Amino acid sequence: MKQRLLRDLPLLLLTFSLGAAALALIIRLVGASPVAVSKALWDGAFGSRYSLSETLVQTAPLLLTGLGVAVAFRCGLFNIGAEGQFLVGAMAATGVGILKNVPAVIHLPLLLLAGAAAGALWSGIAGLLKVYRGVQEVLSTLLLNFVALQMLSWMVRGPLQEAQKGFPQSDLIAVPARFVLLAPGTRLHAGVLLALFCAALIWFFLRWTAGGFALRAVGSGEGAAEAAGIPVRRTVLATFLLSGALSGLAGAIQISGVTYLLSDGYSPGYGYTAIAVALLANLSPLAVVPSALFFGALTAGSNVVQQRIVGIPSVVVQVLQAVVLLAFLAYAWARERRQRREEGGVA
Amino acid sequence: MTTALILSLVLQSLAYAAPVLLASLGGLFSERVGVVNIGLEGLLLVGALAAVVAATVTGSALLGVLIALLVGGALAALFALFGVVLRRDQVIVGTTLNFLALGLTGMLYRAWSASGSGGGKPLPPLTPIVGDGSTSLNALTLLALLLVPAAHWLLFRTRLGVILRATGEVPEAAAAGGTAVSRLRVLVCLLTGGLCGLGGASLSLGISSAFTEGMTNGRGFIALAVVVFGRWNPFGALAASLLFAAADVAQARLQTVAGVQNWLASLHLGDTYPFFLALPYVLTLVALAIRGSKVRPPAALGQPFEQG
Repeated sequence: MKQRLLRDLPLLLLTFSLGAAALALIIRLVGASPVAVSKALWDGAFGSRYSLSETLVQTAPLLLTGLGVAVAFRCGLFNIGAEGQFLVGAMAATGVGILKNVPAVIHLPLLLLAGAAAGALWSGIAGLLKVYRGVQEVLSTLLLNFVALQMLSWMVRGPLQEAQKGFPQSDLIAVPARFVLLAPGTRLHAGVLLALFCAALIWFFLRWTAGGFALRAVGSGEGAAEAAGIPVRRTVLATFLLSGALSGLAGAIQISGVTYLLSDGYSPGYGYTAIAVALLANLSPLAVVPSALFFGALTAGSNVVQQRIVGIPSVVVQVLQAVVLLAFLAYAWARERRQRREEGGVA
Repeated sequence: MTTALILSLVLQSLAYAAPVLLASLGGLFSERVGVVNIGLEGLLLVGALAAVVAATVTGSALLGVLIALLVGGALAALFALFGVVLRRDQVIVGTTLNFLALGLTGMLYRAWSASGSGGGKPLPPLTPIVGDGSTSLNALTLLALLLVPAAHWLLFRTRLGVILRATGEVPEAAAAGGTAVSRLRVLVCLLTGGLCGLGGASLSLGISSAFTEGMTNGRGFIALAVVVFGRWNPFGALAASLLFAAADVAQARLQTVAGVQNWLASLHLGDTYPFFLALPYVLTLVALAIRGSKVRPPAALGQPFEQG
């Protein structure tokens, strides 16, 4: 294993250098300096204690949504709706968070539960449509993202709007419903630990439980799973619920750990980045942790890039993600090809 | 309703249908040869920007449209490289393409506006073929409509059409019959990119007369749904895109009708315009659910193929 990793390293370096070169070209094209951009990216991600904490803060939602996507993909379900599930999770969490007269001890658990449940319901729509009406989940989950976005837009101007009715945003959630901060002077909150715990939990579930086995079996082939007596429909539906719950929880954690309120345009696209997170981790729940950390660093870094360098807008992070993914796809192809050659197959 | 109003509604619906229709024809050809391209959204977006920039710089709407066609094709070449030649999962490659398009168009458009390369020059509009103002039909809309019977003829009345469809159903058989499956799929990917480029141009030059970030707003995804709803048939795609365009036009008009406004205000729901904006997506979902499992996609859809 270690040996193979060592042998694959040059290949990995080659593909990612190609990616970096392409990026540098794009940055030159819009008239900025690639060196200055990389410097800002590094500073924003790892440059100081605060940057490091920001990287971790950005990692939490990516870790949970990434897990949600990974779980669905492992079952062979293209749930591209993590963004919408994240948003409805944040909406439900806000709804619970701003309630008065909730006993303090249960306020935070209740908020998290509401977020996860809302995410599961939203994703469950796509699950029902697939199982009972044969609608491809790629389409339904994408479309549900747009519906969720409009629902958010309405919520912050309607039922969840702040009491003063000034801005399209909610009131602050109650203090007991917030996560405790872990380091003074930063936004690092205990929700990050909960996200890590979820990664371990999902790993255990997939690896060691009957449900996890059924999920993976359906992912490797519905026919075979059915023949082995695994209830395919039920597994598919349950996977949709689990996947949505994880993304919904991400939305809830973001509300109770970072922003404390809901606003228009709430997500900077965590649910879409989640797809990249899951893929780079090869859909393994444990590998999602470093992968989310990597994209968390990219997100935190590009926030600083956008502030510091004129002409580089926040969408630069999408380009970064795309280039990383393309480099990874090229690497996966090259590795497969070499493996097959070594096995003496036709290349 | 007066005849003039009805005519203007119909023409507006046709114009709104054009981007979705062009993209869905591209998606239809792709899927007919077994390639699923989630990247239609990104291809539309890139086409929309290319058309605006090229038309402004050259002062010619026609050149804008042509450049959009080429740029759409160029980005689709990237899709074909990863999704067909390197045989990576097409849903993943398409999703990546959407990231890339959203990010790149955002960066390039800002850089272009900031550099003042537009030089304050006006954006030349697409000249109407029929009528003028809001009651007109531009050349791209007309082209989109004409492409429908052309695509149908190509797919169902020619030898090439048989080969295309066989490639998406039983690529092994097509290959045995002498078709270079991968090469054909790459070519169709380029065609899809070109059609989406045109679609993007019809959106930015034809409807909005401007480019804004993320202006496609899921039209590429609706186009994918239109392919399914239209049963992989060009006339089906036409009917479905018209339906969604009409819904889009209707929701925009409904918002301004006093009676509807009063009724909504009486419900105390706050600002209700998001409901209207969500309508096309909800309608698409409902349409897909109604159509349901009665439709069958091409058998080899999304499966990589390797010439033996």
